Amino acid sequence: MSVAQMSRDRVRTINVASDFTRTPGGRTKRNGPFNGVQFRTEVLEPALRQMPGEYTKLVVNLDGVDTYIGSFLEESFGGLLRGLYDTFEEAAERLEIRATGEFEVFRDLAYQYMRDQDKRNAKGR
Amino acid sequence: MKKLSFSHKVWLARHARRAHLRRIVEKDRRHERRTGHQIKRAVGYRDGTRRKIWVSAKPDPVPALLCFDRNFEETAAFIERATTKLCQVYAENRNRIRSRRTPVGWHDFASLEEITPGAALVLAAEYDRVRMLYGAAQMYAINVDDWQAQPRDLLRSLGFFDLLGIEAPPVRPDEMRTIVRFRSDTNVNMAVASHTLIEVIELAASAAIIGVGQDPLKEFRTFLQAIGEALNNTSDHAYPDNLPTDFPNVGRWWITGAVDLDARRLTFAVYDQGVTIPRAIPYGRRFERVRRIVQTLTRRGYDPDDRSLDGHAIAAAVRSGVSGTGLDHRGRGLGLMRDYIRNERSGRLRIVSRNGEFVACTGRKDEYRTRSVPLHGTFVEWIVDL
Repeated sequence: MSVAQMSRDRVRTINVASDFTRTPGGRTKRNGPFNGVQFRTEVLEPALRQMPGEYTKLVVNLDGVDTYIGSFLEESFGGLLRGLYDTFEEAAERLEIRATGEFEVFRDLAYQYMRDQDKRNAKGR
Repeated sequence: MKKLSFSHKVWLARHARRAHLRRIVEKDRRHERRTGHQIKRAVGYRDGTRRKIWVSAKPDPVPALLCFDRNFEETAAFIERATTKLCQVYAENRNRIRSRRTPVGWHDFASLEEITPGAALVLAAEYDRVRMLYGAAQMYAINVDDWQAQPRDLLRSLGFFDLLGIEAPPVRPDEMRTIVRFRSDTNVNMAVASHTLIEVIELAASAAIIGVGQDPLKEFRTFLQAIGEALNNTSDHAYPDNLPTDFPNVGRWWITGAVDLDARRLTFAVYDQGVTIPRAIPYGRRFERVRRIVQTLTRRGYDPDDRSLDGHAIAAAVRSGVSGTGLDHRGRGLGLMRDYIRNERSGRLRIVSRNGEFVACTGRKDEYRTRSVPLHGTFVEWIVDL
């Protein structure tokens, strides 16, 4: 197996609870610490920019936090389609959101926010 | 100078106190004739000390029941009067309070027979506002020994006496704590909200109403999300730079939670002293949608300054956030707060803002009404069955 092929299989995982915070907050700095903008610009986007060199897929695990509010998820994941990516497919190719149990509803919400932003981008194209 | 005889000294010692009291009574009568206020002596607590002080015997009357559900009009009217008086008196006397003998801005809570957690939170928030704005360390809690047990115990557990900086009455041996200390912050501090909710859940668990595992939030994660949405709304909309509030504000929210051991219910309340939902609607992203919903409900045009439409406005704001995500039962903002009662746990949601009130109960149609007395802020209360 070549080095290039091995690098294609590498996955990096970000656990929100342990790598960011157990108590995610609001959307922006104005809403207080551990906000969506902070998570996206300091954690998500730097990790996504390192692709495909070090790994080919970024997995974000939503388990383990106390809860999420909608604004945080929308800014964190919907915000990716307002800057780094243009389409949902482009983002989904590189990013996977995982959750289990009662956190699955937050995963579904995050994907919904990404699809909503994708629709808005499509109208503007 | 002639030396006093022994009998004269005895007479002076015996009658001096009487003469002193006569002088005090005459002085109070002169004060009463001049101002119309009767002076009476009362026991006051200040800075942890207990002393007998003179107070104006015309305090603001406190209703027997402070509850937004069973006695809304009197409760809201009292809160409004108390806030007006506290802010006005402390602002006027900020520099002179230390020299005044008579305490200002006090209420006779001895007439209060029952207070609910939500009303207690609003009351504490109003006192907390004055404390933060004017450094009101001179507040007294008059004749606390005459207060009824339920309001005294509940306000003590809430932290009402602590925020006044005075010694709280002792805990009774048979008293069971049913409310957690209030907390306050300025932004979406989910750590504070989470900690408060966990404390309430543990209160319920200690009374054997519910069982909790390793993660007390496991069954209440969506509830915490709804609470977070309320805090987020406050952070985003309650204190805009371009809209003044009715009273000087400190830009904060206050939360608390309580357990009703008999009814096996959990109460959680959030209160802010912002511009209120009806005033903030025109500046929100969903104004057009809200306006259309209000027009559908009232069959007439929507004027945000028309207070008779406040109930409709809150209902419209809730409905505008109901299906925003397209996912089943996952609304946004106010809609999500209501959806929790609809889809997750049975109970009731009450939102009071300016003259509007919105109530959603499980299994019943949403109700909204306009009240004659405004609340100068937004009050959100969930009562969920355990």
